[in-house]
Amino acid sequence: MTVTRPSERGGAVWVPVGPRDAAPPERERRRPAYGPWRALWRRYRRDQGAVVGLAVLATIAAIIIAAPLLAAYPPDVPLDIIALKSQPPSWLHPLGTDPVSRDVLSRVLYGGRVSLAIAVLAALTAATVGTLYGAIAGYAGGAVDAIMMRVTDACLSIPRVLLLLTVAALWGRLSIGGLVLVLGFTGWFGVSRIVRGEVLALRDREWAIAARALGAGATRTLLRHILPNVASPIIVAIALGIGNVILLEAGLSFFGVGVQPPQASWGTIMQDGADQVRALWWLTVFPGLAIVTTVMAVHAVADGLRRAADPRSGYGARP
Amino acid sequence: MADSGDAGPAPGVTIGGLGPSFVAPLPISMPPASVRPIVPASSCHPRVASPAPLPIARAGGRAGGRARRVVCAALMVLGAGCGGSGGISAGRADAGGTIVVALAADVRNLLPAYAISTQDQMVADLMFDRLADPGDSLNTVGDRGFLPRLAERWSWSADSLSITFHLDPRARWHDGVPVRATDVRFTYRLFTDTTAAVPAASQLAAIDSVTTPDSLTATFWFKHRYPEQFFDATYQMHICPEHLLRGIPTSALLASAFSKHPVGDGQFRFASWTPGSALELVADTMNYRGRPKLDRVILSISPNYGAAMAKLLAGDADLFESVHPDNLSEVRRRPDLTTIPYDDPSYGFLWFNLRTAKGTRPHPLFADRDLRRALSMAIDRAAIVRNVFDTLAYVPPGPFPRGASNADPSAPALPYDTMRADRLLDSAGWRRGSDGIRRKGARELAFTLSVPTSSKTRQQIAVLIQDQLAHVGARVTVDPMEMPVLMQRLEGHDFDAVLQNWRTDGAMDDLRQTWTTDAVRHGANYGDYANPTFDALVDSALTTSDPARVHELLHRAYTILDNDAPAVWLYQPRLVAGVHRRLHHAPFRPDAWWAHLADWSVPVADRLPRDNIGLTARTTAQAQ
Amino acid sequence: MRSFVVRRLVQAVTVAAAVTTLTFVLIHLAPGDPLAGTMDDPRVAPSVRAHWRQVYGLDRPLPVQYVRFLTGVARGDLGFSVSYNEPVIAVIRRAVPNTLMLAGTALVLSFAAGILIAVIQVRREGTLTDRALGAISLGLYSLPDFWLAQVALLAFSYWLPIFPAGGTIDPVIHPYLGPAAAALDRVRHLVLPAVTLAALTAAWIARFQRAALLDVAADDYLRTARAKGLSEWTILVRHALRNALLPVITLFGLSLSAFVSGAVFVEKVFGWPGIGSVAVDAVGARDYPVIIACTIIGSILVAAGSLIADLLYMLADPRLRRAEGDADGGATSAVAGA
Repeated sequence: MTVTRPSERGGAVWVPVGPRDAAPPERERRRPAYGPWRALWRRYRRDQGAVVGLAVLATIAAIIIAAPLLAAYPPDVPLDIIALKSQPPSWLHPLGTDPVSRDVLSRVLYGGRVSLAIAVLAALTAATVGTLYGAIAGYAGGAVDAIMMRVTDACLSIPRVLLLLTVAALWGRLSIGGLVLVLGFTGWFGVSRIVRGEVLALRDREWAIAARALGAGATRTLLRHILPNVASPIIVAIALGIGNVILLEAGLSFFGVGVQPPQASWGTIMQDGADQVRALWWLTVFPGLAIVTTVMAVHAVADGLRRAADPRSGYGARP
Repeated sequence: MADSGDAGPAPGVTIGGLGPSFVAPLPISMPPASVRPIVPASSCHPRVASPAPLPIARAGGRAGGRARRVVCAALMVLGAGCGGSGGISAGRADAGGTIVVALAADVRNLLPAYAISTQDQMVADLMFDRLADPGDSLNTVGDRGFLPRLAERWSWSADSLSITFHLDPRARWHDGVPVRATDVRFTYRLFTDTTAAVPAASQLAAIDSVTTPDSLTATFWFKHRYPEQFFDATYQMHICPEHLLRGIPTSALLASAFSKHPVGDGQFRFASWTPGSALELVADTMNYRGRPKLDRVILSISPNYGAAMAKLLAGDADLFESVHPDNLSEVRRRPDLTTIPYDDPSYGFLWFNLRTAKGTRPHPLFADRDLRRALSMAIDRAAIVRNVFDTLAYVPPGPFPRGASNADPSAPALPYDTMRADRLLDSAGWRRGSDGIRRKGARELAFTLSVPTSSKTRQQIAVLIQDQLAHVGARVTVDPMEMPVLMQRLEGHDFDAVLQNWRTDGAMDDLRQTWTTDAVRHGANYGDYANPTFDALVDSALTTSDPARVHELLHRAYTILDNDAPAVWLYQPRLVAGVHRRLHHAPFRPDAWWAHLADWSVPVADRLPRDNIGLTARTTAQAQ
Repeated sequence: MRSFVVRRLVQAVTVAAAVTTLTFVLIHLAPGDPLAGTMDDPRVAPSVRAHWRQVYGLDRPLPVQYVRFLTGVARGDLGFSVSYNEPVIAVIRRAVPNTLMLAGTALVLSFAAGILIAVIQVRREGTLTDRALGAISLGLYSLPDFWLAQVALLAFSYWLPIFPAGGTIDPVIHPYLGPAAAALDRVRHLVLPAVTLAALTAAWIARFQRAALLDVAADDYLRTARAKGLSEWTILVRHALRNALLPVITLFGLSLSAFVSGAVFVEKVFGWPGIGSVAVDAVGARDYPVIIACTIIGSILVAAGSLIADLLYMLADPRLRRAEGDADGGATSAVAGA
């Protein structure tokens, strides 16, 4: 049993009501032509930069998913360790070969899989943990909220890079799963603050109070009522998180404490060429360009989402 | 021996293209005529007490000792006549110039006792003198070829159980105090003090004591006779000043003021050190061996290889000691730079651990000799060396660099033969599975190969080995780890296989310290290789004085090593130094290219602005 | 006001203490120990290593080491560095001025550039200039900092030898230069690292500032100013910017944290001997006291940064001075990214 009510952000939100209410009229049972996600997409589409960013991102994702089809050589097999060692870009090897005579283009394609997978998983982990934490803090309020936010503040004040370097370096070889966990568990603090702020604000809206009055428990109120309204900032945070983690993972792998060689990732390819930036410049330049393009696209998408989701916020939206 | 962080490039070419047993060097580009190597002026040197041709070399023998000493003394007197004042001339017409040496890693400490890395050793060698230095041939047997330093002459006892060094009375510490025999005794005691943890202490184990009959005479007493007595007595110890180090407790040595501002007796004296930036040495004008021709030696420290090369190529540095093959062409294109190749006395190898669980049980894979031999034959060492080093390395047939005392170029080496390797593995019961990996029952032919993250060379080699062994059905997992962690695992005998690189000082004792059963507990035999026959042969070789017999014993020992294959001998690097052309350099001694740095010079006509800084600048800065 | 400051100071100290403890436990639980690096020569006997462990106090149980460490810090003694062979205070004292010089220059450069870009973008809004600058700042914002550092080295030091390849001064001739030449030498070495560090933050600031400016662009007082006949530039700079600077002030405090993190990679690539380099080297060498000291400094900087941000915001915005009840200094909340 639901009624529609306009949400603050445009579009409609289904708010469950108790069983005693009458069944909604027939026409309201149909899915409205103007749902919240469609509205979001409509506003998003208006922003040229964001559309371009989404297109670029989709292309990159497609290329990387199709890596086995596109890569001419396997990424981890030395081709000819004498004749093909450290070749500059050529027709046969458009991005050159590395000192162990592996084809750099194949490594960039397959490495993209690793880098993007780590980024997406870590950002999702961070968002999940942060959302849960922030939701609980915001909903509980009072002393619990204060303590939980103190902890977040404390964690925020550790420079993330130093923490990551220390943890990853000291514990030696981190598997990719371990890397995802470490990156995820050091990145949720910002998300939790945002979610906590939103939950705090929405907790005392009439419909939330109504839901509680009608018997919805805390969990249900949170999950079914409040969090859907916080979805947009969370999605934006995920997008930004993906961008940040790509950069972080590249940095960690470059310094030898992220993905371990000989596994290909954008950071490890750069590390292979770190000693010889002058002579083997293609090992530094091309993975870097790949990173920059991807992260630019991700940021453009995140910006577009933010603008589309919150048209009245001042972040660059036009009236 | 110390683990060298990374070996630079090295050239070589295979013979025949099949598995090379030894690689012959290509003729290296000779330095052009404008850079004239200068022979150390020992021909007219007043202190040529024992030039190589004189029959003073005593590999443990003792014939005609007294007569020889008389002859030697006569020659010395004659020699002293030639060359005139030699020693303390402060005014040489062509003196002057600054050499800037680019380093890719920082100097860690300035105490010679704790000098482990090559840059620390270089600084120690320049500031502190030994009793005697090995000659350029790096002979370690007897005293043949050794050049006198603090000891102007020496004499053996009749039973060769003691050597008496007579110190040069002109030798002085840089603060003016004369060098005395008590300094020698103090240095020996410091080095052998267990609480001081001096790495070279184990090399001095055969020395029983050092006595000082008078203030200019120090006598070393040995526990037994062996060929490398003289080498051990002189090479391991830079003499330290007793009057400055006397009261400092050993645990406070590294933090003491002396270690930040050392006072030595060498031809260069300490000027200043800014950690991470530069270390400066100036010429000691009143040195007993003569004033060096250069005024200053500045070590310009960079954080990594790339920055150091940039300094050389930009003209901010005059010398960089190991140019990577990928950069050689660029260096050669510069009109003001030249390249000088020289051997690096180190060898790299793939080390199998024969016992697992910290030495308690035989390793499930590597305890099997046939498996080790098969894996050795499956690795194309020549191709690996060609890929990683281009033409700048050799493939050694055993655990020794070329030209070392224990080298044996004719030692047998397993060939590169993948078919033989396959057959051997098949006959040992390792069958290929559907995924290409061999199995014996439930056990896979899979192991972890550990490499240090600090060495890109070894990381590259590890990837190549991984690929080559995959072709014979072995799955290798490359495990990079940081040097401290790797050393911890090595010392705990807790690894499967590792790529290791030992830098040797050319002594035969290295064999005993790394591959004998005794070394499992007390040395560096981290792979737990134990073969009593090999031990016996090495022990005999170390105590025999006849060179031919030593060679034969070593050859038999290396044959055993080749049969047992406890390791795969991979590379000996040949380094190339990039040097500014205006420098007239002395020949490079293989283990220390800086050995004759005092003879390097810059002709007045070619001097750059930094050559004209002179000696007196910076005295105010030094005082700070 | 005073109670706010006191409260925040107490918070900062608590946070620093918590961070220190956490780091201490973390690094001592990790494998590897500081002596293995400096004494990796196999000739050193195990008994000797045990002796040195005892000298450095590494053989005591963890709580005992922790107490020793705390009492040391209370005395002002941060311990002894095994890899530098000198007291940690000396290492830090040498490194901090270098980082401050680099970060300070980068801070000034990035704020100046960021605000300038934002003003130009708003003034020429909708035109090609706006889009181009927007794309550039998006691009700069997406660069990995170590990569930009390497590319900058490649372009302006290796291929076009304009700037030196690292370090703070020319180690050979700097002591012999006159004061003007010495200053020029320092500036030459500072340019590439500072510009690299500034470029990334400038993009961030530009985006933020542009958003803030657009936020106030439609406000009524600006319409009045236009009606008065003032030029657009005057309006932008004297009226709009004043109000739009407020959110950016909070960035000032937060950027300290960003500079601490960013400096790590940039310092390492350029060989700039600051706290970032020291920290990375210490992690590699397992030099515990130095690692802890660097972490303490890092978190002090970050805490100081957010405190300064809140104070400045309060000073700048009179509305806040009256209502300082928000317990967690809300101005700094939403900008801290993932």
